[in-house]
Amino acid sequence: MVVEVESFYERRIGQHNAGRHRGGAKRTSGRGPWEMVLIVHGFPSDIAALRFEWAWQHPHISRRLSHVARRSRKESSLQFHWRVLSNMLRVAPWSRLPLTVRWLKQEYRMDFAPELQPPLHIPLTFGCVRAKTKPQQECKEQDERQVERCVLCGVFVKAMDRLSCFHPSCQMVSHLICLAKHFLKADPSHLLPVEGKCPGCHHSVLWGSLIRHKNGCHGDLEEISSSSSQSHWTDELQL
Amino acid sequence: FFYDMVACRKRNKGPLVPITPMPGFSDMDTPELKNKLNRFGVRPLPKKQMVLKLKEIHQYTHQLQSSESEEETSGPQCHPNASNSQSAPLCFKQPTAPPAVSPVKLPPSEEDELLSASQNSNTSSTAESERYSSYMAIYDDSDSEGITASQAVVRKKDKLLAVRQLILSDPKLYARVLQYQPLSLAELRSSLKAAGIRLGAAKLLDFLDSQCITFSMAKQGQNASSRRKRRVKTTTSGERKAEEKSDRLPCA
Repeated sequence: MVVEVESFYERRIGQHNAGRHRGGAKRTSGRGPWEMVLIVHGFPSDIAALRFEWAWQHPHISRRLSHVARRSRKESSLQFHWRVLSNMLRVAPWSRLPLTVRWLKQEYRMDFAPELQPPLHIPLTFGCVRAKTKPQQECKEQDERQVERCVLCGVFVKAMDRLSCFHPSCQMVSHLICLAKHFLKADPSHLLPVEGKCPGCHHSVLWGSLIRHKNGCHGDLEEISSSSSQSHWTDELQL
Repeated sequence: FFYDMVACRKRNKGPLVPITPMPGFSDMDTPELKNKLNRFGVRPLPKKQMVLKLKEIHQYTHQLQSSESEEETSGPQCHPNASNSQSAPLCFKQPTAPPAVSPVKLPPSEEDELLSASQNSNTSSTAESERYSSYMAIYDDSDSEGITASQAVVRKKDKLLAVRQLILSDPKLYARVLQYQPLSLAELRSSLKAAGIRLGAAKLLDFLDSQCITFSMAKQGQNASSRRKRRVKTTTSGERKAEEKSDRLPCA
């Protein structure tokens, strides 16, 4: 079994000629093409993704996973890797990353064990996805934008510090740091927020989603039917 | 400091009991108060204020055990995705309150839990969060002069607070953290050195890990992945293999 992870910045680099990535369980028939059954996506950097991947592949060596028991005889390879993953999501340095766990094959999917529930902000989902084609409008919007003030401190906001809410019709604009500190009031021992209420529309929003929105990556995956034909959907996979 | 969240999720429904009795700050003389505050990197204040601050700090650092409420209140909610016709409905968890974590019980006089979770459960602790907020205001108060990262010096926990303060006080650096961008370890270490904070590499990495801050061995601005081999290659049979060059990572 091979486990791999993907980076969300990679999809902005253009056509990924590394091609097919794999993760998941071997077919029970033994040899043959690999089958992707499970992916973890949303890593904000190559480094974060690679480190996660290494730890997932080497839980017995990883310093952060010394509490994870070795594979027992009754555990299949997939079960073991699922257990390792469940543990990883619950500990630093991964427990605050804006990740999503996605099963791609219905027949293999498993739930998290009750005692190994992931952090609340990490969803478990199912279904194949691909990147949406992006309209060009957003770039223009930035240039024409009027000068804006932070809703929290009132000072003007420069583009590089700018955060806005992605909920439709929410006008909230703030500084990166102002909003982070606002969210961290409920979570003061940390530096990196995980979630909070938008001061504009009061929806609960994930910090990772706000950053993706800032980078133009938010909402850029779309579900596709798992029975899609012609080209294999992993050819277009740019998460 | 933010270790195994499995361990932290133990339920404890006992009453709230302070672990260590509070020292008699009101009875101390001014030099002694100044000394104690200095350990936390706080400049001398008028005597009354020093007493109050030390009380706040003590209350925060000697955490009370509180019961878990998030496991009762939260739970996955399924939202069938309207755009989904053929595949299974997309289920995801609606984020609720941040997870409440029971702080680890303190042995007397141990202040390592200074940085441990003080996240609030829904039921108990707005008072606690107020105390913590006012405590952290010591570090985040931009009005006060003279509190430099170098003032929080000798003890390890103070050093970690100093690192935290260093990050918070450098908007460019903090902006990188907030956008999940890796910090250059080399640059961070030289900033710490310049600020007079002596912290070993292992402890620094532990701190960064505990804060879920990604770090890079490359210099800032350099693309770390350019230093690695390409990680996916194709074999002639069409099978693809992944290569992981992980030996440059100090730990994972």
